[in-house]
Amino acid sequence: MEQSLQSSDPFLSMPDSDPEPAKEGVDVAQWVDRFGDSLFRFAMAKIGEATTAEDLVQETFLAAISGKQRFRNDATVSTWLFAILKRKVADHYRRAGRRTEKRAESVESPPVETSRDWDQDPATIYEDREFWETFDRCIEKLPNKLAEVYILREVNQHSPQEIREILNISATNLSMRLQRCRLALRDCLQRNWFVEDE
Amino acid sequence: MKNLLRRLTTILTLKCDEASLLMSDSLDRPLLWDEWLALKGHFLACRVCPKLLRQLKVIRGASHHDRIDVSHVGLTSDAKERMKKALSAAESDGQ
Repeated sequence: MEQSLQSSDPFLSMPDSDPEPAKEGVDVAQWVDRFGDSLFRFAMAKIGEATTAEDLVQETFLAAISGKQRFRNDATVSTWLFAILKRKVADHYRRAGRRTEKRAESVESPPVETSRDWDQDPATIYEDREFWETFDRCIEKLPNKLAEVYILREVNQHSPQEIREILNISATNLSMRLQRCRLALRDCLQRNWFVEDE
Repeated sequence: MKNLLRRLTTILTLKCDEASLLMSDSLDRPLLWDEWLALKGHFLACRVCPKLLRQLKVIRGASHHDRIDVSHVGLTSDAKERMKKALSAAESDGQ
């Protein structure tokens, strides 16, 4: 039986639909030592600014307190914390996006001439700031089930076997979710960043 | 024998949606010999799928590309202590 995030809200969605009785005395301070560095690295890779990344990690832990009793092991805690942090990062980008739009109203930037073709050198694509903005928006748009496998596989770089154990899903299910996730990202980037083929 | 026939059928009749699943799988595991042959054979006849494989590799590269090198960064001990204090305070408030 598949167990996975069922709700679009990671604060409400639990990876286990039939939790064991809550353990007494879960020490959330230990989460800082266990998961703080990996959460911070994720936030830094996404945000690139240490103070903001720290703030988002702390907000993630604080948001996680309310659900601490529902988690039985590090794997589910880690999945949940990353789901919360992903939302925090997305919120950060949304706020930053609004600020950028306001600035754009008063400051007119010259148009940047760039070639946007899938066939160009990936290193060139990755140097484009607008590519990353689009890429992040595309990830934010992923449905939760797909975002979940994306974060586990591509951000945390868990092996497929580890992900199957974390989510308790079959190899076929994982394979199809990863395919759908990658195709959704491809379609989103194609629509919003790359130039359509003739 | 049945298994071999099934594999040969796969090699000869692979469709684009099946090919895209194999391409995605190839990012997660080595393909079996018949899967690899089927994909290569499909690429000979299809203009779209080789492009999709390039696209998936660009996305994989982007996913693993750190905008800054984060491999050696971590929370400072001060930051960890601040967070632990904030968590303790929040827990006390909630009780």
